Amino acid sequence: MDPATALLIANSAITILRELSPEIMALINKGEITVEQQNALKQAIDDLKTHLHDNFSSPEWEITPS
Amino acid sequence: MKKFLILMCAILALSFTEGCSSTKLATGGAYNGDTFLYQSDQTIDAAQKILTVFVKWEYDNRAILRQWPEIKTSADYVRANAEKWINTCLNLRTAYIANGDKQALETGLSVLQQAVVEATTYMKQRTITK
Repeated sequence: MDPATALLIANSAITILRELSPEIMALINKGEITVEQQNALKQAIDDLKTHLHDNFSSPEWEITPS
Repeated sequence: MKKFLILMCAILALSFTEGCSSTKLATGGAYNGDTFLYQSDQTIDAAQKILTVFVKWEYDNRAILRQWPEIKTSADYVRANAEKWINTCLNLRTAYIANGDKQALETGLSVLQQAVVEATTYMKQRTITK
C-alpha cells in the first residue's frame, strides 16, 4: 500500500474510532494482545480454513450479468 | 449500515497499518510471540470480512450503484478471485509455519491488501461521503 494512503486511512480510522468507541481505543492503547485475543484470532483462521468455500457461496458472491 | 461500514474500514485500516506499530503479544497465546504470524492472520481475517462486506454492499445496492459500473466490475473481480486469494494466503501461512518463508506470505498478503484497498475506496467514496 502507498504509505501516504495508509497513513491517511489510519488517521481517519483512528479519528472515527475515538468518536465511536472509547472502549476500543482503550484496548488499542493498552498495547498488548491478550492470550484470549490471540486464541480467538487463531480459532477464526482455523474456522476459515475448515469452511473456506462456505464463506464464498452465499448469493452476494454469485457473478450475475449486469 | 453506514456506521458498520465506517467501523469495518477503521478495523481494516488498523489491521493493515498495525505493522507500523509495535504489536506485543502476551505470553502463553496461540502465536508463541510470533507477531508476524499474528499480523498476517489479522490481515487474512480482516480481508475476508471486508471483501464480504464489499460484495454484499454492491449486491444490496446494485440499482443505485449502476451509475458507477466500475464498482460492479471490481466486485465481480473480487467474487471471481477472493476465495483463491484467501486460500493461497492460508497455504502460504502453513508454509511459513513449516519453513519460515516470510517473503512468500508477504507477497500473498499484498494481493489481498490491494483488493481490500480498492474495495474500501469504493465504499468510502459512495457511502461515507454521500
